[in-house]
Amino acid sequence: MKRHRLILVAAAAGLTAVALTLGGVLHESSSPSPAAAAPASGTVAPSPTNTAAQIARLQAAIRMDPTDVRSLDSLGLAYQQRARETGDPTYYTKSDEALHRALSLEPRDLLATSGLGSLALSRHRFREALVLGRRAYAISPTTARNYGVIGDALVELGRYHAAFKTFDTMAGIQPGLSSYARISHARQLLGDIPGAIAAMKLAVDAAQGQGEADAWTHVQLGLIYLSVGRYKAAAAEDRYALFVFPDYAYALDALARAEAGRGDYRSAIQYEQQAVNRIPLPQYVSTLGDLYGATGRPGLAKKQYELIGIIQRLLVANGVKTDLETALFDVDHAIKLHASLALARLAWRERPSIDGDDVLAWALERTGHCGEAQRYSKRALRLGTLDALKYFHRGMIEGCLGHRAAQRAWLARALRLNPRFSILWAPVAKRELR
Amino acid sequence: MHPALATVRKPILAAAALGIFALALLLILTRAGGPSTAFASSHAEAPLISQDPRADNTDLYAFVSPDNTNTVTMIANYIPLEQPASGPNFYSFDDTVLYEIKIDNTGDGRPDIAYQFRFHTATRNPNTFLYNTGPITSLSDPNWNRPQTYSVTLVHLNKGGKQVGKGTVLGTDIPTPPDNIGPRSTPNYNSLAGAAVTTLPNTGGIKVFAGQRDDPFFVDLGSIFDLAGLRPFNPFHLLPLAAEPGRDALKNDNVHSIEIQVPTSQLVSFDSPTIGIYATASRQKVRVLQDNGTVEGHGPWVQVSRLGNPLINEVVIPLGQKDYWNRQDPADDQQFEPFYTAPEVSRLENALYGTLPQGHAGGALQAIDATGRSDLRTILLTGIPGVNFTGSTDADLLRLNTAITPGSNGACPGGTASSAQPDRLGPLGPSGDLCGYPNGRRLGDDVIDIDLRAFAQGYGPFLHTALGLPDKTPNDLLGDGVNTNDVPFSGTFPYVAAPHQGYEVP
Repeated sequence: MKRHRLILVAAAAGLTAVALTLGGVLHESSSPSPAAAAPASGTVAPSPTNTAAQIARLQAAIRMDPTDVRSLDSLGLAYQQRARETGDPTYYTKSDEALHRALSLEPRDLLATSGLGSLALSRHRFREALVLGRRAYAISPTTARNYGVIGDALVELGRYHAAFKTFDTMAGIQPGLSSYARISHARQLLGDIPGAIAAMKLAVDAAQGQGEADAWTHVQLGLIYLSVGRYKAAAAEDRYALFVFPDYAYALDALARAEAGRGDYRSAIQYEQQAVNRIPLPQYVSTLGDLYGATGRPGLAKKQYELIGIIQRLLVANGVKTDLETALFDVDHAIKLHASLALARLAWRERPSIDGDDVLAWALERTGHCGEAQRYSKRALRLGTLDALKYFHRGMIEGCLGHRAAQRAWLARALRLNPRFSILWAPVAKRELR
Repeated sequence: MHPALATVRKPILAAAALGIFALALLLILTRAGGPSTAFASSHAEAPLISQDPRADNTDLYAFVSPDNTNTVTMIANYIPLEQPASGPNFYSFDDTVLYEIKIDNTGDGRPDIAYQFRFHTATRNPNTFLYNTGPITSLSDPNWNRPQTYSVTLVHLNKGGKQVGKGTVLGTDIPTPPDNIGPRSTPNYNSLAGAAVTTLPNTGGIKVFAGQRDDPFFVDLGSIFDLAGLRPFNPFHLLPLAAEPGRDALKNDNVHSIEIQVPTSQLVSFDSPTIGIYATASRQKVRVLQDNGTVEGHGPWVQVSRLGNPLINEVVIPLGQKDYWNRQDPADDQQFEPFYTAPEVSRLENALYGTLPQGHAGGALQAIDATGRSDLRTILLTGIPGVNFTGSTDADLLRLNTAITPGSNGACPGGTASSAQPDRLGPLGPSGDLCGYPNGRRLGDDVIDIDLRAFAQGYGPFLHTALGLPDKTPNDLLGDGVNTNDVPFSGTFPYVAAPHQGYEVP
């Protein structure tokens, strides 16, 4: 066990170097991009250079007075923002340290408690996040963000009824960007696309002029359009996000997928490569690999896929649980199928959400356990979510069970909703229907 | 530092650091935008700590108009710390927010009248993201791609604070000026802004203006953030430094102002010339399962920000209750009274600047009572008897006695109109200028210094003689060293200075 960890740490250290050579991914933003001048300064989302400067200031304050709880709180939160901006998960470890130090000085500190809650969410440790969110709620039941931590955790634990009630409370006491975005997400889960769009538009208005947050809400709106095949509307939102916050990785990735939806794989590869250069998130790298594969460049695809394993290890070394994402990637790419089924089962126990259900269903189908797969697929679709990939999985499961008509119905439904729902699987769905 | 001293100081500093939260970090969180962590799972990732600048009241001003003393001017500012060079996405009001200025004229803490402002942004050219595609030479210039207009509605409320009837629409499609971008985009800015000053027809002469302005607030945030430093008092701080003049952190910052000038007769009730004012921003409440008949942008509304007296949420209300405080109505402020009568700021002033035993050997301030401060309740929650008292109900309202009329420059030393310049310290200043804060609030009132002195029981000679309030010395000299705004105000509506231009300010 101990040896295992040592290897991981070594891998992580080595990895940083790898990532550095792979397009300057984990670098500090060196040249002041136009984003630095965006109205972000002073309002919500600081530009990357801002956050780095804020971190330096806070570190100096803590050197002056190591018992300065407020600075420790702010530092812990600033590290999380930095992780978001750079994709470098070592900031999670630093955030963890700062916030735990704050808590050791003041055990009932509100910001440290809810900050550790949001950190747990980022690390996909949802049960932990729920406990921390409830602890923060006990300290201050009137602070809206505590409901956000609790609700987000409940969603990922598949406890939707309680989650939606929590979001309703949050939006009832403090309507605004944070609560509107969560209401939108909940409506999307329930298959209410017009409602999800309406709520996200309120979030867009609330975020206007706030740099990263502004861009983020437009990307989210774009992703809702993308989920129902409205590629042009999606691309317009992503382009607007890049207009207000240039080089924004989330927008580059979303735009790549919108372009792929329109069938323009060349542009898609270009944007996804830029996204990966900014932040090497596994899902970006995986999409890039899929795009290379779909355009007849298996060598380049393989290179991307190899990178994913390395990044996952770096994430794990910094406390992030990646079981579900790893399982899905492995199943999709037929890597060690039986091991990935075990991983999907493990992930499901940690995260019995509709996504956990769906990944497990898919892993079961790919390994020929189609009866059990159908049970989980039904669970995955129990909210009425409009999700073409989940429809596709269900179709393949029905096919595996010999239910031809049901298979055709589900596959047709997936393609109707979102004709290019997946670079890998939409062509398969079309082939099966022929 | 001597090691022995260090050990003595540490606990005090730790305590101060916690308390400083009151004065400094809270200022960051509410005024300056705080730690902005925006991360959740890779699925939701919605921000958890988000600022809401477009629905954030920064300051409220109310005064008897010096150039028209039959009227009262009320100015509610929103969107803190606007950087003039803020492209490509310039600041504006939020079309989905309900902005209100509310007036209690019966002394029960509940609003009787509310002026509601709703904005609408048009997109003149859907083919570009740009704010303007050429010089904006008039408010109807097609080069201005995102013009914003607004409506004003007068609403009456009953004793329970509920709206009576549908309200009276006082004006619609009222223009706002663009933001002040630069000599190419917005040449002749003052004429653009001037064209947006509107007298509403058939209202008895109500004037309105809404748009970008210079932020009239002035404060040395840089020093206050640094362990509640006050540069002129640097030598007396627990961690002493050489004295320095203050620096205005909001120099060159802009804000969005909603201004309304109303004939006094439309505001006061029969019983009393004193009115209590507060401004709010409200957002639409939404639910996961949509209620039937809900129209986006039309309520039901939840108040997300309010402001009566300056700095209450920043220096009086503790962190865990800030969200809650913003949602509460002034009429329910009695629940917060303990934070006023045992104020964190007074405790902090003792620790950081006080003499021994409550402070330190290098301190200067006389001992300040940190409990039992009924004086602060009077000033901030009920009004001052004989000046702007509204009754025994605790309510955070900006109270203005409209019968105390100023001279041509806005001053009334000792309560008598005079052509003298206003005293930045209002009644706490040597002239006892009763036309200033806390009797209403003029643009030039130095509320930071007034609050620092009031919390330190340094009320100045006038209020000491007139009302018997304590005037401890040198507590009555406290200040951040920033005494005036970076640019002068205008003597006529809309009074607040024109916004700084993006082209001129880096």
